[in-house]
Amino acid sequence: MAWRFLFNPDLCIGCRSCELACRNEHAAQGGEQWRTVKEAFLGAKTLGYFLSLSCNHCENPECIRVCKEGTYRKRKDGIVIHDPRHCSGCGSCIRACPFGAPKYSAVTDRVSKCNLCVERLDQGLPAACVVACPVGALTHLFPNEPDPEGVKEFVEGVGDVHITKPSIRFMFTAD
Amino acid sequence: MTDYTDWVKLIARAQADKCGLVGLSRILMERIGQTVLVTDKRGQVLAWQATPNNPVSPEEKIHIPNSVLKSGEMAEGIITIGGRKFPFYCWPISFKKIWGYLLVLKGDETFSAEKLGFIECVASAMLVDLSKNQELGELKQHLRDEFIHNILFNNAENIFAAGKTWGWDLSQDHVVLILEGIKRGQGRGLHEVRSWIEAILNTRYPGVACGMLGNSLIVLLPLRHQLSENRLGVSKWKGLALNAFEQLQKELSEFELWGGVGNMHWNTSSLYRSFQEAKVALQLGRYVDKRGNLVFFDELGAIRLFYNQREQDLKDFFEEVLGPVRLYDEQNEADLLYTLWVYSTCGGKVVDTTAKLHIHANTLRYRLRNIEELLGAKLEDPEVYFNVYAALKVGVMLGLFAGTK
Repeated sequence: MAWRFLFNPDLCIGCRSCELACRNEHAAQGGEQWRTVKEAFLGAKTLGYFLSLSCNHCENPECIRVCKEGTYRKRKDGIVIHDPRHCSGCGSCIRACPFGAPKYSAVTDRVSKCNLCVERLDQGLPAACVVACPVGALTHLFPNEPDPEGVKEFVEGVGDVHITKPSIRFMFTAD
Repeated sequence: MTDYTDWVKLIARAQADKCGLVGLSRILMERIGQTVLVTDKRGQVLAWQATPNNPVSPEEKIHIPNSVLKSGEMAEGIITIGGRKFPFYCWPISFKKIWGYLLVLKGDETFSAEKLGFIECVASAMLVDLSKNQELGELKQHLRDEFIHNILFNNAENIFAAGKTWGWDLSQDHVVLILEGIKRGQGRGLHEVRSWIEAILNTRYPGVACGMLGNSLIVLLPLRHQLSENRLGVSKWKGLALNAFEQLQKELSEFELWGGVGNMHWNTSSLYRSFQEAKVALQLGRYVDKRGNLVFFDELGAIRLFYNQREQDLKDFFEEVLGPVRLYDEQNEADLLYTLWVYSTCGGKVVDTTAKLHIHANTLRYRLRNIEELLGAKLEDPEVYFNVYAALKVGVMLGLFAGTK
């Protein structure tokens, strides 16, 4: 088991506080937007819900496999870390990630991505996006915490890529 | 009684002095004047003390007779050590489960009740040491697993130095093999046999590094000689993985084994890439590739293009190409998709396909004609066949139809 996000689309109001908190927290690392809030449509024009997504810290991360510089590593607690010191900015991870999590920064000429606020977690603090969410739609689960009953691994609007096994979990209030 | 109390005190002091199984065996041997052996539950000799007039030295592992294994209590038997036969008494060292065995080779005399009491007392004391040994072994295994985990997720620092502490020369190139297995009929994984697998591999491939990650056993097979990255090298490292896998399949006949092998990156610090590739090979190979239970990442071919596509895109592709056939199967309870799958995996050979499906060649031809009508295209057309084959692989990968019956 690993650190992972738990997102409840029923609660999300699309306020983008998580996006903003993420950018504030990591502005020094190139200022790229690691977390995005997007709309998931059910049917042609019906807005189903909002989704707040960033790196899913997959079990089989493609970014780790394709990076020839050894820039990525996966900690024992499941967090996929990108070390910009080794990054050449080639962008192979950006193309490989089915969720588009790694972002290229024109400022640093390197790639960066969500690290689940690992420094905060190591100090016992929740990730910045989790703290910022005013409605509690975005939380995270501890490495040894089992998935709550009724969670889903994929929902409409998220690329359902089974092979990388993303760690994020979704839970609807109605379920 | 005083004698027995003194004996208990002696044993307790010896334990406090951390004399271990060897010390306890010696104390017992001196007391009863007979050769003493201690083994784990599998018969691996952990300690022995021979009397000066009967110097025996047992093999690394001895065969515990079935009568002893079955009884679960003190039993007698005959054991062969160094080509000589010895009658023995054997006490299982147990508490809730069997931890090991204490064997005392018999001379001509029969042991008195008092002597038997002394021996049973030592057997209980040995229980503590055996459990300590096991705890230590488990801790070591845990630390080794952690180290392997760190290598494979690019977390390790000073890989070479740390590897040496475990007896692994990580400056050599290694092939990464991931193994998963299920005991037929019981559904249990490789956890219970991992030590055995490690022992088998260590005998044949000295310096092999193994670690358990979840339900997978990760094996880093060392290439004995540095090979250059050329065709010869490729065939050698693949052969190495194949041989190791085949040997394990033979030894673990009661297990269904699957394996995935990553590419060689000719650099220890890139083992994490091989590992990711091996994982992909194992997963995709299990779903799609039925050529064998060992799959190499670089032999996955075009399937690799599918595996990080969105499931919906893949489903759409399947429906576009094979939708009419799937619909026909559903409405008529037919087996056209499966027929087409077997026909493809048999390389379009009618004889092989009919043998696998247990149907007549004319039935197969009729079904293939039917499929062509539904698709509105000829399977001989390479473009059509490519799409059909790709869609079939997608279908099996996503479980849209069963690739086996």
